[in-house]
Amino acid sequence: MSELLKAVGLKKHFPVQKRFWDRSSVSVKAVDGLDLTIHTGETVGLVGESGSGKSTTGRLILRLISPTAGRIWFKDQEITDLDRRALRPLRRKMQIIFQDPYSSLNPRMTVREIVGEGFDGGGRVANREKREIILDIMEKVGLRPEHCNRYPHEFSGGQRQRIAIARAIVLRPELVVADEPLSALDVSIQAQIVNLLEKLREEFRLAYLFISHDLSIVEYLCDRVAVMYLGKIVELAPRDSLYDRPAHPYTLSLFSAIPLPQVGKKQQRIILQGDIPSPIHPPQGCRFHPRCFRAMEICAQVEPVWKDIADGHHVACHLY
Amino acid sequence: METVLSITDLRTHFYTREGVAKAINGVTLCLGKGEVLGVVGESGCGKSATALSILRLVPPPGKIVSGEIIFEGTDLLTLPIREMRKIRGDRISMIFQEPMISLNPAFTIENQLIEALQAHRRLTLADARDLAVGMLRQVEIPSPERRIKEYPHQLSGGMRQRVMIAEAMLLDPQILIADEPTTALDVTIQAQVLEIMYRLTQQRGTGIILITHNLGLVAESAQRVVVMYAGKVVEEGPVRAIFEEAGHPYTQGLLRSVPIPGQRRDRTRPGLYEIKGIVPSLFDLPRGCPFHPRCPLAKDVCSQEDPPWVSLTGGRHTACWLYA
Repeated sequence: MSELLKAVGLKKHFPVQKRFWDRSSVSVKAVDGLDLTIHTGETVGLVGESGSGKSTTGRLILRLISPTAGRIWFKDQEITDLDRRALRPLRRKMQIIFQDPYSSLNPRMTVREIVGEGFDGGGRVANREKREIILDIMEKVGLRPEHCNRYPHEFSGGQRQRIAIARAIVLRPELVVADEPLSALDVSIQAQIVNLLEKLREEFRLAYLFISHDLSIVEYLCDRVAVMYLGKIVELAPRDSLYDRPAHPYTLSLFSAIPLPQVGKKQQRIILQGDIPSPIHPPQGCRFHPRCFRAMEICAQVEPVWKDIADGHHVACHLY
Repeated sequence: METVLSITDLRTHFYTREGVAKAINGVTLCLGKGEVLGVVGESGCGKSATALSILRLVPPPGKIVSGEIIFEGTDLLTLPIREMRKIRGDRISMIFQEPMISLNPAFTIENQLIEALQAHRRLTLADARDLAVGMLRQVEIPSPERRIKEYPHQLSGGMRQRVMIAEAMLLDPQILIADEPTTALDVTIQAQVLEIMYRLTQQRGTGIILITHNLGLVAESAQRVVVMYAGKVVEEGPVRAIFEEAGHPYTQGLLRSVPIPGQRRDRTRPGLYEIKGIVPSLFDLPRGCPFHPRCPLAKDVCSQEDPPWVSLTGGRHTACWLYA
């Protein structure tokens, strides 16, 4: 599998200004040193809770925002510092699907206009070929031709998400960032959308960065999974390896916290103490140490090193 | 088991410009003393509307049209509002999904807890304050004497939800209605909050009506479950019996749509199980069984007549023509 996207040492700090005259350099360290590679046709899962930086990571790799530090390559081209003009031809190749199907579609555009917007200029579909491409993609995502002239408010959440997916893939991208695409949907609709995403991935040879807090869906769908906490990846492994042998204590607590839809299987739950710290002042040493049930003295002082502990299973933790 | 709440044939409709939405269309269920009853269903099934109906907090243009809600020997739907106010927060409490909306941002935590206490009991300010601080300690808010003087925005989401639980449990209610109590919280915080909620209610013998779309929460903590669809109850019974062998095709479909641990995408196997189609509009419900347009096992009668309520083995009941 070839490398489609590579990010090294990515950081994104958002400055915080409490008062107009405040010149201090306090910032939200949303992403604070991240390495990630996505290969052609692969689905990489990115899991984490609030403040983990997963959404910011998705936007960074698509260059929707600029990194504070670090470098990004799309295929062999470095895209770290490209300006908007230079990025434009690449936009066809890298797309995004958002969490909220209600706010991510322009309510004043018809479905055809929304899906066709990415073509040069957008607006009225004059070109016959463009029209056919749009109809074809709509059928693929499970929408009907008569939906073309309707407006988003006439559709359910699941259907709107299908429109968003159609919009994202109509130009045949190579990488799609899906940022919590299922969270706003009912359980039975989630299954429909997951199956659709998988079908499209196979047909169009897409790679996904699947950002989610739903560990069961991530287990089902992804090839490799990265676990983020407070701006850093704490564990990254092939899916089977991560779910069969989770290494990092945070990953263990995440897994233990999921309620399973099976009666009688309630395990001893690891309950973490305290709240998720603010990304403005992350803890010293290992960021997870204040809540870690396996914390040692060194954890409060030294940041753990990123290590390969088995066949591509990486973790940053002093236990290893 | 003693029944503390009994709802019979409840109907709550919303009269809007677009028509009448039959949010609750004939719901019957009951809660035993100290029991955790899960109410599951997807968007529009009427589970939140049921909770609001119990407390008679249905916002206009909604109206409880008919039915009976028996609590402590009285039909709540016939009580004058001032009597209903005595029950809310005292005998039956509720916590909501978004604590930022249910806590008043302009008042301190202390103010809100004391307000709740003094509305129902004769207490001096000092006593009320002590009780409030004690309750915050029980829900594991660190330094409660200090934090009680803070405003909701100064607390994290998990803390706000714990304050909600404290407020709801202050007066030792018989029933706690929890409407998606952890949906807005991160999963590790969810575990924390639920652990506190269950510990407190078990200590005091409080029954819980747990409204959620998360089947895992129900499997883990509820004794009985009610499955709702488009304003009706389609199945009810002991959690184990239903999770192991659901009777209603909708319940079966729902359980199959959720990937179980260890279920991993595989080219040789078909994808996740899908219930085809979408939920019907409450303004335009199908004739007969509301699920029939999406049901893989639908028969002719399903589109013509309302299904009967049938008893199955293991204490399960379902509204379905398959078993009539």
